[in-house]
Amino acid sequence: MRVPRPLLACASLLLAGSCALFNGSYRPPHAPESEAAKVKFPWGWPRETVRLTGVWLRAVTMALDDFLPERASELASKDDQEAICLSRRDSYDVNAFAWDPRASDAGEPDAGASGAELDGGSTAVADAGPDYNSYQPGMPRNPPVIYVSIALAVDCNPGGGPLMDWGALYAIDTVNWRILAIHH
Amino acid sequence: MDRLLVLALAAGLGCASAGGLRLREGVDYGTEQRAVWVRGPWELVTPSTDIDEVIDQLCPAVMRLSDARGHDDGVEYCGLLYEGTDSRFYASAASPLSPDPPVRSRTKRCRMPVAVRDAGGVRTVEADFHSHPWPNSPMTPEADTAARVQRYSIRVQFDTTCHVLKFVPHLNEPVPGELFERVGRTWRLLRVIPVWNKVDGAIWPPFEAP
Repeated sequence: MRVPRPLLACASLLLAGSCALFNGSYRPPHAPESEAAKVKFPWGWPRETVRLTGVWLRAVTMALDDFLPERASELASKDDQEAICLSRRDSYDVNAFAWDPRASDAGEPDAGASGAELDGGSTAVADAGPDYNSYQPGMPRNPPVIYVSIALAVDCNPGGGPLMDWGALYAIDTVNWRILAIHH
Repeated sequence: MDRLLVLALAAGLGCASAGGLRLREGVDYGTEQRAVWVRGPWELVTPSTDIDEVIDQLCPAVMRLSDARGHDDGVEYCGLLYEGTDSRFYASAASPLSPDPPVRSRTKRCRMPVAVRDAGGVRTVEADFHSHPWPNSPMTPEADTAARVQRYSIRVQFDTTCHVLKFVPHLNEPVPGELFERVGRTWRLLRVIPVWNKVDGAIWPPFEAP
């Protein structure tokens, strides 16, 4: 049996297109109208979706904005295929989780995580709708600290040998919205 | 004559600088077709038939290198452990090569070498090793433990306090990965990574970094 990991996984797929939300200078390109006109939209959506709730999405975005090279340097290295690959958001997978060091080794995060006092009055219980646990099992909706683990998911230099430590673990303060620390 | 001997020794070990020993690109390590090679054996590490004896010498040797203890201004080094044709284990020189620019950063990385150049011959590469330029800085879950970044049977990692970790990925074997820390002359098992987590290398359940 696969152990259910406390994570918000598969974020990179959607983040590839949406993570620049907090970078004021960047707006995504649009397809021409002729192409856009051919796209069909569903009314409603499939049973299986990837849902990234607001606080978690912002925490992941903040970590990735810090982790990835600045846009200027991405453009400056346009001739280096490896550098381009390493600077792409969709080259990374992200796991995000709440964790209480006091529960260390227990393996189960404290779902309440004292968030009720720190997150502006909302509580994990009050925020959690009936289906909440189905898309973020075991995770509170608004934890005061979200850990964001970023890991390179693709080989940007085939045959060149693995890169050590090409990833990072961030602690994001979701009360004051700042980076608390980056684990070495 | 003595002076010549000192010069020869310095040439063999690399050049000393204010920030520590500096190994030479193109001599001690280098790049060929986008992959990194390292020279072996490394004179700072005495070969042994016991691989643990070699592992125990790695951190003190690497920490003599330039900026190896430099924290955010530091350098991360990558190298290999291999078995020679005489059945003894050797360490290669360590490479600082990385796609990163050498700037102040909270994250440091190096590219793991894929080959040892030793005129005496290399039977097999048994392990890789890399350093972190901070204290209290263990192996990075997933970035260092995922299956896709494993090439050898053992991965050794250490920080500036010479806290040494050993990861045995058991790649392509139906057994769990194992993460150890060096305590005295023994390896203490810290975590077992179940077979179903070996692809990602997730360390579960989470615990405070040792």
